[in-house]
Amino acid sequence: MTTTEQRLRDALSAKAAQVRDDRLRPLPGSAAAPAAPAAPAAPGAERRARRRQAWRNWLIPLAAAASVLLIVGVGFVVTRLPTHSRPVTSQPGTPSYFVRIVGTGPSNRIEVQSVSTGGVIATVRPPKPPTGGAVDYEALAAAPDDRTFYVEYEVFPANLRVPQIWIMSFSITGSGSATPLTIVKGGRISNQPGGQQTWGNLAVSPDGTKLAFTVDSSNQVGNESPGYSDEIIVIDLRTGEQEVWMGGLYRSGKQFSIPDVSWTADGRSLLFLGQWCDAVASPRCDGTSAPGGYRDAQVWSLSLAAGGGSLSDGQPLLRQSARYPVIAQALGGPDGSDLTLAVLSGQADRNGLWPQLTVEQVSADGSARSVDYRISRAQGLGGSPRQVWLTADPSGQHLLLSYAVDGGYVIGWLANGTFHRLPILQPYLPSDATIVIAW
Amino acid sequence: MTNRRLVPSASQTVGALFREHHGELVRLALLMVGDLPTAEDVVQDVYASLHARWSHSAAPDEVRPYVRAAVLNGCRSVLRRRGVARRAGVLHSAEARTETSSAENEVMLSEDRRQVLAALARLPRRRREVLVLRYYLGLSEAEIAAVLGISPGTVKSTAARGLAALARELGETS
Repeated sequence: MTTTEQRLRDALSAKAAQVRDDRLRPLPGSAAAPAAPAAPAAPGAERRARRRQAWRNWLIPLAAAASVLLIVGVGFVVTRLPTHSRPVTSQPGTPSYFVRIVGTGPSNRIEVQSVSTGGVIATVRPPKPPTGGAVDYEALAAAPDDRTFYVEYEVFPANLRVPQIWIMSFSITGSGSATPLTIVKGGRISNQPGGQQTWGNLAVSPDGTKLAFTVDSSNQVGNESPGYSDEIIVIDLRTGEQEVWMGGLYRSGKQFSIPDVSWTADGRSLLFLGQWCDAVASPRCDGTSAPGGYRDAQVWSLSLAAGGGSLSDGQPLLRQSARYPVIAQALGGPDGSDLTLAVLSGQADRNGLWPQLTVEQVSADGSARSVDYRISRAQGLGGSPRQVWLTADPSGQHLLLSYAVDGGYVIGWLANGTFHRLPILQPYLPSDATIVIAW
Repeated sequence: MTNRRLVPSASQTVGALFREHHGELVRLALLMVGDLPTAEDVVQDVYASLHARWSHSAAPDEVRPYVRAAVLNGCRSVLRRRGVARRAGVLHSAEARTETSSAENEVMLSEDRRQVLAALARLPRRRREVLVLRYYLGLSEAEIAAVLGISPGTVKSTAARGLAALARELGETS
């Protein structure tokens, strides 16, 4: 046994020794538990009942405290938001709805909200997991019809033998309700356990007939970044046919992932952002923008004519450079030739936080066309590359941007250099909400 | 001919297995999620789910890998939740409390053990799971393969890579 094995075994044993059998919360029906019912009640029931009782006891003081916090919070938010963000007003051509995942774990749900009013139009619950299994979301995307949405779920059966990705869809009806979730043709993908360390991406082609999404190619033994979304699958929604693009861009000792994928305006190619980070020191690519950390990012174009193959069959369009120190997100530009980048720049502090975020239109040769938006640390920017999300509506004309500020995230859309916050009641997302959004 | 009444139901099997191995399952969850209250929540939730919905007869030997896998699934959900919360720059208050509680427990560990566990926590999920199953539960490659639904060869390569990554992180040459 090596030293590493000895140290690992010792550390695991010591940590596990913190669990004392005589102090464990009893399971229903065990000797230490309260009188066992003839038919054992669900073990969570008692816990939930206690929580409900405790909740009732605290209801009045909580309500009073919440009122005070609300007043203080509103004042705080109003004073701390970026000064040039404006209350939302929908404009002609902007999508009618935006969707986001709210909640975590089994309680997660999709909320469809009106862009103009912020009202929740519909709520969509996740699919039922297999017995003993779990369902987690990966990504959301909107179709060009402004009513149909796609969701990428990761499904874990209890025996873990065949982890699957489910691509599902739902639509908003004329009466404003949501249709049930259904799996799209070809949308059940086996042996693709999704990205644990990085989230998936989902993008609908401009004509609405194809979906591109990222998964973890962890079955590619010896040529993979396990736990990372490092493979692109394209599904033809009419036939269910799949194209798989993977491999070819791995670097020894680095974790490769694809933080962003989008379509070109003609629908014949994909653009994706490839990212390489230190494999061990920063497995989540969190702190790799800090001085001394390794993070490389490149924007690649991938023609879909071949119907699948290696990611390296594509062409690199733009590389991270002094001009673009941290390419956090990259999309195909609205005119089909430019790129739209979310770039962090300036001098990173010791925590790997960058002082400036710009969203800019860039030509494929790297020359800047225009800066659509700029926000700085002084205006509250968080400044970590993993805390910047940029996506576009299916037309590519309207950008949806979210980024961290002190205390949480703001979400909004960009038009004429102005950031329009979406009408979510809490400008900072509640702590149990995620930043998985689309429109 | 087998008298079916003498064969315990799968529900009873699951219940008995949980009670017999309650501590082991909580320890397994603790090593994956890092704090005891959450580990106990995971095991209880898995118990509730399996006990209420299990409908197939099975021998204990068949159920055990299934239950371990279900606990690991529960841990995955917790870790993903935390990942989301951190990604959003926030941490759920309850999780923040458990992390504080966990930090207090860490005082009981030596600096060396803390370093090892911190390095382990930074490994990708599957490597972490393989190393815990192998070096805490002492499972064989075949048993780990059964729990994780991967081939024994993948278990071997994943464990080797995990150990190598751990050694690099800890500044060892082995």
